[in-house]
Amino acid sequence: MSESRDKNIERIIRLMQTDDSADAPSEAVKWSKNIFRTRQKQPSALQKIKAVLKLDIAPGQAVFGERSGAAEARQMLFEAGEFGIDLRVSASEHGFEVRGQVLGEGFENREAILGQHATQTNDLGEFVFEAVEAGTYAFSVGNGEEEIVIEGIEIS
Amino acid sequence: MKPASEQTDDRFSPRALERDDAALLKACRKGDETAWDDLVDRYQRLVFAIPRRAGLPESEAADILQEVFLTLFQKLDEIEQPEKVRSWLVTTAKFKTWGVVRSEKGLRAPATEEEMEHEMASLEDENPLIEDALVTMEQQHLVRTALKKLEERCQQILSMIYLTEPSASYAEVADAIGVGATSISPLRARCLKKLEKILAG
Repeated sequence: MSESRDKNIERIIRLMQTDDSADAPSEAVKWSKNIFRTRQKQPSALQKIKAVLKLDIAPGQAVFGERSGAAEARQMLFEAGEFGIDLRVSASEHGFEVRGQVLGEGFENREAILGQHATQTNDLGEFVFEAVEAGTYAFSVGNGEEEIVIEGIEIS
Repeated sequence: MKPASEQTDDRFSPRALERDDAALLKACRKGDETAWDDLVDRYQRLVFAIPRRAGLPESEAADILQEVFLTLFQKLDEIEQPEKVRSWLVTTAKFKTWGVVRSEKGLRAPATEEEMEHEMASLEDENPLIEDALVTMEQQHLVRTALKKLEERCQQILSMIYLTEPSASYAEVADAIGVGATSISPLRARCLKKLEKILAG
């Protein structure tokens, strides 16, 4: 480990050891959260398209249509109207990597959201989320007129 | 003088955490109540710490916390850089804190952020909200947030060793997580590296 890295780790340790901050009173936190409940829900012209799981292949299983080799990632295919979403989930050093592609035109260079993670699709509609923790997530990608939504994606 | 949250730090560049913040803020704009709850949970401690550091009692600090989140709620759609919501929260908390401190001295609250910064700079020696203190508080917030991104075992190891007073011994940590005491030192080192990586973005 380099000297600068050692120093950085020491600094992180020092920050933890000297952190004397305290949680705010629970009533004040609760009040702050409740402010949001007063928000008026705006009617939206955005068309939401709920995606449906059509194919789910666990890691290690041969992929349908492939002659040899087994998938290293869990592969899922969702259908959302005229669009499809291909999702591949693989374990990585910091949790999971979730790669995918929007199949169909109109979702290139758009924001894709997976729980608290956000990324951009590329020119091909491909996207990747890194360091995703195990859990159940909602995925969405929108283009201003349509939003494809996948609910309850279990990553484990 | 630049706000603490905008000062360059060559060690932490928590882009991943900032992307999380941006995603939360954008989800709030879409009306996601869970995202708002997560945002409040993530920042309540940092926002509350700023008036407390300035010497305000818990009740006044709690009022400031509520005012800061109320202002955030009112300006949700106006924040131009969602990934910089941390800077926005720190500056707003500092501004409101300084307003209370000044009014308690019988002075009117500063009208603008520039006026506030100018006043605070002129009082630096006795100013409890000097930039160095705010930078440290923000960095501690980043470490706390990054710690929550680690797997549960790492969180437990690092919390027991570094966040409890008095610090737990390796034997106590080993007992708590069910491994041999000789495993704790390498596990601790591995967890710290993971923490560092998250903080490096």
